Amino acid sequence: MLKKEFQEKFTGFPNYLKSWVKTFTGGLTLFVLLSLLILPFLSQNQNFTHVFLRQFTLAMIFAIFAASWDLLTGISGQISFGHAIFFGIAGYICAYLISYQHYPIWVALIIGALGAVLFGLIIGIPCLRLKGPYLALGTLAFSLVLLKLFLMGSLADIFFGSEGISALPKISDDPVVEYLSLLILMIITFITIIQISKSKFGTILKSIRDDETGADASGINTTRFKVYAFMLSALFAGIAGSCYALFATSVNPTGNFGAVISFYAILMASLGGLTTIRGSALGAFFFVFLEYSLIIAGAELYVNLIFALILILVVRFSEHGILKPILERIKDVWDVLLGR
Amino acid sequence: MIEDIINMIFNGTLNGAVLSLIALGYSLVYGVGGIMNLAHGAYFMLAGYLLLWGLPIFPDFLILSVIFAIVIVTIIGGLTYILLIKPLQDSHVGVVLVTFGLAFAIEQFVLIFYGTDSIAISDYVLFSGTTEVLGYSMANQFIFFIIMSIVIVSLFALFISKSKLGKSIRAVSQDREAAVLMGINANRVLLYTVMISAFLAALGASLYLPGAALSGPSMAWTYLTSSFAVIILGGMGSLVGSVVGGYAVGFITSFTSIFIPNGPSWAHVVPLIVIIIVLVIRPQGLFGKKEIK
Amino acid sequence: MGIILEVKNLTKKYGGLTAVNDFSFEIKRGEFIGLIGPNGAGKTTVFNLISGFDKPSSGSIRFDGMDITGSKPYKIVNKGLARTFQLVRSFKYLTLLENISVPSQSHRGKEASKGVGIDAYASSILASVGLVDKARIPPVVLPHGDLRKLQIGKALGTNPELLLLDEPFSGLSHEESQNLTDLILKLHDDGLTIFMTGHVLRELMSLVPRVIAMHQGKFIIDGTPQEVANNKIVLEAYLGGGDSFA
Repeated sequence: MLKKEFQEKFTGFPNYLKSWVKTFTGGLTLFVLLSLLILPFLSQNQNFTHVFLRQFTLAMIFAIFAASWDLLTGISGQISFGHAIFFGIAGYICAYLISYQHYPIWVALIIGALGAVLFGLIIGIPCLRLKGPYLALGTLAFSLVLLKLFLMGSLADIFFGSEGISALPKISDDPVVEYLSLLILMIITFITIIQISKSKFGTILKSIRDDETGADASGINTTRFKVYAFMLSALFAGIAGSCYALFATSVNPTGNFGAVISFYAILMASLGGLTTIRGSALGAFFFVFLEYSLIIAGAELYVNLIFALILILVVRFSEHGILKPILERIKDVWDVLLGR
Repeated sequence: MIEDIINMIFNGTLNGAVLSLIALGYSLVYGVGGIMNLAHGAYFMLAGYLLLWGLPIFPDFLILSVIFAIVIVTIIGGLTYILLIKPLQDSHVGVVLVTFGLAFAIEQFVLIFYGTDSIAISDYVLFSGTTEVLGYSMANQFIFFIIMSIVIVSLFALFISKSKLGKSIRAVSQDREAAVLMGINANRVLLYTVMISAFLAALGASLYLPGAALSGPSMAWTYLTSSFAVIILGGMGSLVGSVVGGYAVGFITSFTSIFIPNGPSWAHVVPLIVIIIVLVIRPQGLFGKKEIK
Repeated sequence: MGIILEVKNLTKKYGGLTAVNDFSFEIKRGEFIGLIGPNGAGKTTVFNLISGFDKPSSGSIRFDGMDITGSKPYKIVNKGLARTFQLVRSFKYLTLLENISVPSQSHRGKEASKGVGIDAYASSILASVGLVDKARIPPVVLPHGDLRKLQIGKALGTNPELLLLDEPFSGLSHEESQNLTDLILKLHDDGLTIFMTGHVLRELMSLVPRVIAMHQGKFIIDGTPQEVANNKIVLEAYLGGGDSFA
């Protein structure tokens, strides 16, 4: 029966694709993807490829990270304020395997992500007893303690201390290859997460979000599904974390485990709207470029403060993120243009 | 050996004195309004930095700086409620997110001016010098603080049980709708509750930090994490639990610091271990109710 | 036939308050039974204890011969015991069809939907509660009566053998009540064992052939509606409690 469903989906795909493109979100997504695809080839200028383009690469890493957070919080309803854990652990494992064990880059990247999944399991289980704000705080506590362990005291020396590991290779020395690799990873991540969200499994996750008691009463083992959500989310956060380690060519406690990283995930996903996965990508791009602009403008010191204020404003005044209302305005214009 | 024990007892009590004050305010706001104010640790931290900033301005009237710090933080608490918490009271996720954002904003704000280095507030110490007990030196400022902490907690207990506002607070925490029916303005009560919690945090900071040091704006998160462990151990929403839990966590931390190899490093992990153990063995904590919601 | 639910000496204490006190009864397969009691009598507590949402202080509960005392709710559901809630709840941001597809993915639901697939199974359940034309709509826009039917639909998604209905008529208009009554009677005719609570007695008493009455957590009487209606203690409980009796 599963095979029949799959066959139907496969043969129906071209038609599905056609009708999808005609919708506003479909058309817009396709336009954005094509633009992203063409972008690296627009200029040969060194400044363009090595600096400007790399901002996009960074944005895509964060898009994956934000989407992973959205999967856990927006779709499954488990509020995570410690997402830095998965990001950082993957980065450290990846860095360690490459620097000290001489693993090839992609293998290290994947093992890093798997390490994050393991942590998703480790953290998911005690946190299952916590709900809502408690879960948020519990995950935050976890990430802060982990940060301390890596940063201070004699234990930190086992984990490479406050200096971390540096001199890591990049995914590729050619920024265009690096960019395209991330683009592919980002597309795969988003398609996967969106499909998960639309699947029957995703419906269960959403039911736990909307009414966990009701899900229990529906015969669902909510504990198990919550752990799955943690592990899946950790997987993608881990992929982002490994990529980031390779992007920055180093890992250190504050840069990879800091509470700021968790904050960034929350900010990016909130900007784009908590329940839309694609919104996370928009949020990530907006975030990276805003930061970039602020740094260029010389306001580097104020970056995080400004972001904090933005988060407060976004959450306070718009639960759908600011980007959704803007998109809806654009959609109205689109409809008018197409005579609908 | 005996020195170590005195050390442990003293520092355990000291930690407990700080934690109980912070956790008390935190737990109060949760118990009364179901609100998790993640900016609570930031209130404590901010009071410390305001003190640091204000001291050079009023060198001859140190008490003015203290009042200044406490007043500002209390007002910020009130504003937090009015501007951020109340409008979002229907959304648990919203309140948590917005107070998290606020905590970050406060941390970043302080970071811009003071950076991440440790700074000691050396100009303002009411009691300098130390007292020796069985070979261990205890800073007099800390002894003063411990006494003051106990006094404050006791006064607070009196306030909650005897005063009109205290009784209104208890009514709202037990059954908000019934309290409203009895004519209590629950909104106003919640506002005062948040302000009182900020006040307690600021008061604690003003008395404790001068003897200790400001270890960077990120200390806001350290104290938040520890408070969380305290209220999980003590039982969410239980005021008695916050105090007992505070001293318990304080003692566990000082014990770990002194008697366990690599102690100071492991001391950082204590809050987390407390949280995990309590959640596994007895999720409602020592004095809490059965359901965690 | 046989006994599907056996409750013995069920007790629940909250601190000093005894919400359910030494409560015992049996339900046979295929029966249709009402549980009555004034507000606060402990009816919902009994339901919570049976369905696993609360743990008894003492006593035992056996479903279809298996001991389910203190089991987790989802495990009890997967043995064949489903329930609805007094306060209507739904998966707010899912469509009605998706709402039903959730219980359809429980163990029992998956067993039952094996042949036709989850969507078809969920659709048929929506049809059986009269909501199939609203399959793509989320619950937010629905009237109260439909939400109550949705709840029953969700319970049916788990293919239960015993259905616990907690105050299903609460807040319904006359027409909606009639609608719901027809649905419940049909489910019973199709073989479902139904255990229902209520405190507005007129509807209940005309519907069920057997009634268990409780007051202040304690068992009063188990009999036909007439026997219960004439019982002195029941009358006192209701007249004293000021609830609508007739």
